[in-house]
Amino acid sequence: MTTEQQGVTWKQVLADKMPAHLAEEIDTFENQMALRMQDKLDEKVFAELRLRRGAYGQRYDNGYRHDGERSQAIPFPQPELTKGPDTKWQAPGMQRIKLPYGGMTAEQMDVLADIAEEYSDCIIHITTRQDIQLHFLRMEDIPDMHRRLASVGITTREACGNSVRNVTACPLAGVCRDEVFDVTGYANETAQYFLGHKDVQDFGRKFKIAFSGCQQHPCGLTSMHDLGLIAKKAVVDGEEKEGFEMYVGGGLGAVPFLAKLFDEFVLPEELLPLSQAIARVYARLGEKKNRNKARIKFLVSKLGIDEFRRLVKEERKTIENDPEWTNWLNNIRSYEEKPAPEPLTKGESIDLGDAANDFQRWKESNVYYQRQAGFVSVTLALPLGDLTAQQMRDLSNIVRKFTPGAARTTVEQNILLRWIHEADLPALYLALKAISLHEAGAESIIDITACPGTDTCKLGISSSRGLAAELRQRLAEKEWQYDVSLRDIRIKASGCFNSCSQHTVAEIGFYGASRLVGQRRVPHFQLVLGGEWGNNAAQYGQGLGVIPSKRVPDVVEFLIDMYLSERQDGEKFSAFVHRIGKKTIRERVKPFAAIPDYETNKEFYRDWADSREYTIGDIGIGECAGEVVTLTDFGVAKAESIYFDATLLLEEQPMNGNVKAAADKALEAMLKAAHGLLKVCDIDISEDPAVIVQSFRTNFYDTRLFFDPFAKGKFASYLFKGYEQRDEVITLDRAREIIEESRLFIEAAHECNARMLQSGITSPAGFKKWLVDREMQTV
Amino acid sequence: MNPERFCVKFFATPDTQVENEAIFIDIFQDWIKHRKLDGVLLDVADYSHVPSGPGVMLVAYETNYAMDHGDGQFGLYAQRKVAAEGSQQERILSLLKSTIAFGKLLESDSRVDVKLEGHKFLYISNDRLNAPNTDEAFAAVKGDLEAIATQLYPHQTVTVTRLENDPRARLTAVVEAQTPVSLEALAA
Repeated sequence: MTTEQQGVTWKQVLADKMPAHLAEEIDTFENQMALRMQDKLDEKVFAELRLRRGAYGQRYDNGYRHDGERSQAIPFPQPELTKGPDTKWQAPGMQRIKLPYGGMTAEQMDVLADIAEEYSDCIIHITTRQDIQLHFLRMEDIPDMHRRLASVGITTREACGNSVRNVTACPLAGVCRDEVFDVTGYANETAQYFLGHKDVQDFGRKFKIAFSGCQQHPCGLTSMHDLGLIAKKAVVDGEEKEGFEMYVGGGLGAVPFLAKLFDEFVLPEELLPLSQAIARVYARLGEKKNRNKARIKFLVSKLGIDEFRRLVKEERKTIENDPEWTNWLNNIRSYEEKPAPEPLTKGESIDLGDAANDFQRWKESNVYYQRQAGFVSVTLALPLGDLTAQQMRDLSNIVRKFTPGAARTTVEQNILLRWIHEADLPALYLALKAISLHEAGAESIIDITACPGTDTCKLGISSSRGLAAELRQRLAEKEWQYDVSLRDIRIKASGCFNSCSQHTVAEIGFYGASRLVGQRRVPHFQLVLGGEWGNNAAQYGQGLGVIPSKRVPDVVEFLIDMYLSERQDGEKFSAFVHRIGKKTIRERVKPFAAIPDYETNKEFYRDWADSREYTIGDIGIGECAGEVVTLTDFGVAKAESIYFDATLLLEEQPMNGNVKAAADKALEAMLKAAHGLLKVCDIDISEDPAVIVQSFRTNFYDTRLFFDPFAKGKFASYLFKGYEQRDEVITLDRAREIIEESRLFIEAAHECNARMLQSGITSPAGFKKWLVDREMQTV
Repeated sequence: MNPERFCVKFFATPDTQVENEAIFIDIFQDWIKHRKLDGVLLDVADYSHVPSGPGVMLVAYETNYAMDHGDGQFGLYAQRKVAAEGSQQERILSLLKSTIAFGKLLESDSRVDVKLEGHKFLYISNDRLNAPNTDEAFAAVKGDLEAIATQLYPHQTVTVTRLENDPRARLTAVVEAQTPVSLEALAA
C-alpha cells in the first residue's frame, strides 16, 4: 500500500524524521490494513483500530446513497471489501488530526497543506475541538499520510475511539489579558502523558480534557468537558502557588451536563496523578455495555460528586509514583514564545490605499490586544472553518514572517496568529488580503460555527453547513458583523442533536431535525435559545421548537430585529431572551413554522446546498396516512407542548419547588408521546402511566419499532428510567437531564411515527400485520 | 518517475460568467443520479464559500472534478486519486479524456453557460515523493506531455513549460497550443 513507484517510499524517506514509537505504530496499522484486506482480521476489530488512528467513515460508506427519489447502490469496484461493519473499504473516509491546545508550527502547516492536496480535496477543516479534519480520503493513503504527519511531530493516535481525545486549551493562553497564568504547557504535557497510556485504554466512551486560563471567558469551555481545568493561584503554606480548579463530568452530546467542581485547587504536581486516578475510576466503574450511558458524566451523576471524589482520592493513594508526573515541570516556562524584538516593518510606511477603511473594520473585529504591550493577536475568520491547502501554505509563510513561528486553531473553527507587533498590522493585513484570509467579523454573528452535518457525517439529519453558509451570506449583507450591539451573539448549527457545533452554549443555536409533512420529509432545525458562551460555557440553552430549514434565516433576522428594537440599555442577548421569556418568543416565531404544500413550494422539501428532495437515509415515500396517524401526530404534538412547559417551569424559579414539577412535566411529555404512538396499536389505550409504559415496552421496545438506526433503544430507555425514578428526590441536575431526555424522546417519537407511516403501519390492523410479517422473517 | 496521483485543469473562457455557482450542485446531483459519466460517482461537495477554493466538486471514486477558483483562475480541475493502468503517458491521456468528456457535458447543459478553453491545460503532479517540484521531475514528464499534445493538437505548435511557483507547491506544467481549440473539437 505504500507508494513504491521508484522503489522509494515515504516510510524510507522519513525514517529518520519520525519518532520511533510513532513509526512503529503506523507500520502496525499498515499491517492490520493488509490483514483486513485478506479477511484475516475481523471487521469490527479493525474498525476500532482504525478509529483509534482517527480514521473515520463518512456518509454513504454503507454503499448506498439516496438520489432524491430512491436509494441507489454505489458500484464500488470491490464491494466485498469492508473496513468495518456495513462500511465499504473503498468508500471515502475522514481523518481527524489532533493538535494539542490547537498549536501548530509553520512546518506542520506546510505538511498539512501537502497532505490535504495529495490525499484529500484541497480543503482543511478546523473543528470545534481544535482538531483538523480532512475528508474524502482513500484507506490506502492513510499510512503514508500518518508518516508525513509523524515526521513533523503530529500523531493521529486516539483522535477517535474510547480514549483521551485532543486536549484543548484557550488559544489566547500566554497572551490573554485576564488569564491567571499560561496553561499551554500543562495542556500539552497532559496530552502527551495520556497518549497511549495504559489507564486510558479501557473506557466505555471518549474522554475530553480542556484547559482555561481564567473563569470568565469562554475560550476553554471547561464546563462542558469530561475534565476541565481552570488556572488559579492560591496561598499554600504561606506561599502563592499556581494550580488548577478541577471540574469533572461536563459534556454536551444529546443530554448536556454542566461539569461539577471536583477540587478547588490542584497543584501542578498533582495534576497528572489526580487526572490518572479519575481515569482509573472511570475505566473501572463507568458503563461499558450501553455506550449511550458511558460518558463519565453519567458515572458522576450516578455516584454523586462527593462519592466520586472519595473514590478518586482513594484511587490516587494506590497509584505507584511515576516520574513522568513531574519531570516536565521544571521546563514549563519553555512553552513561552519569544516574539521578534522589533516590528518587521519598523521604519516603513505601509500604504493601505483603498483598503484603509476595510483595514479599520478588520482591526476592530479581529484584533486582540495582548497583555504584553505593543503586541496583538489576530483571528482569521475562516468560513465554516475551511481554508484551502494553498491558503495554509501561504499562511505558513506569514506565520514565519510575523510571528514566533506558530499559530493556534480555535474552538470557533478559526486560526489565531499571536505575538504580532501592533506596528506590523497594516503589512499583515495586506499579506492576509493577498491570500483572502482578511475577512472582518471574527467571532461575530456572521462567524457561524457548523459541524459537518449531512455533508459528510453519517449521523447528520439536516445540512448544518448549508444553513451556516446561507446565514453567513445573508447576515453579512446586513453588515451585522460590524454592529457592536450584536458583537456577543454567536450562532452555532449542528446537523443533529449531538452538539458537535456546541449549539447548546450559543446565544442562538440550531440542531437538525426532520418532520413528515403529508407524505414527505421536510428538513428542520430545532431552535435553541438561552445558552451562554461566556463564563466557560456555564449555561446551556433549551429548545423552543422546530423551524423548517428554509425559514431559519428569516427566524434569525426576526430575532435580531426584535432584539435590536426591544432590548433595554446594555442588555445582552441572553438576558433579553430571559426577560422576554421563551414562551413569548416561541409564540412570536410560530408563524415561521408553517410549511407550504409540496406543489406550492418544493424548496421547503430540499435542504440547503442540496438539490435532491430531502430524505433521511434510504427511506422512500410510503403509503397514504390514515385517521389513526392523525391521532398519533396530535399526541406527539401535545407532548411537545408539555415538554416546553417543563422547560419554563425550570427556568422560572428552579429553587422554589419547581424542580420536581419540571421533572414531572418532562415525564408527562414522554408519556404523552408514547401514548400517541400507542394509538396505532390500540385506539382506546388507557392514559394510566403504568399501562402506557408497559404497553410501550411490549409494542415498541421489545419489537424494536422505536429503535433509532444509530442510537438503538437509547431514547426508549429515557421513558423507562423516568418512570421508574418518578418518586425519587429530584435534583436540579436530574431535572435538567430528564427535560433533555424528554426532548430526545419526542424527537424519536416523530421519527418512529414517520417510519410507521412509510411502512404502512397506520392502524391496529396494520400494526398486527407488521408484527406477523416480522415474526415470519425471524423464523 | 511515474506518479499515480496527478491533476489537470482547463480554464474557463474569459467571457464565462457564472452568477450562481449553486447551479453546479443541481447539475452534478443530476449526473450522479443518472450516472452520466464513467466511474463511480459518489457525492457533491460545496466549497463555494472558500475564496480561491475548489468551488463545487463532484466526488468520484477515481477522480474529483471541481469548478475550481485556484490561483484566482476559474476552470475545471480534475484530481486523479486511484492508480490507472498503463504508462505515465497513457494515464495522463486517460485523465485528460475523462476531463474533456466532463467539460463537454457541462458545456452542453442548458442550465449554465460555461465554456472551457481547449487549447491550454495545466498538468499538476500530486505526488511530492515521486514527482517533486524540481527540474528533474519536470524533465521526466515533459516528453510525455509533448507526446500527448501531439495527439490532442495535431498540426499545431505546442509549448510545454514549467510553471514558476512556490518550491513547496506542486510541480505544474503548462501545455498550450498556438491557436484556440474548443473543448468539443478536442473531444472529437
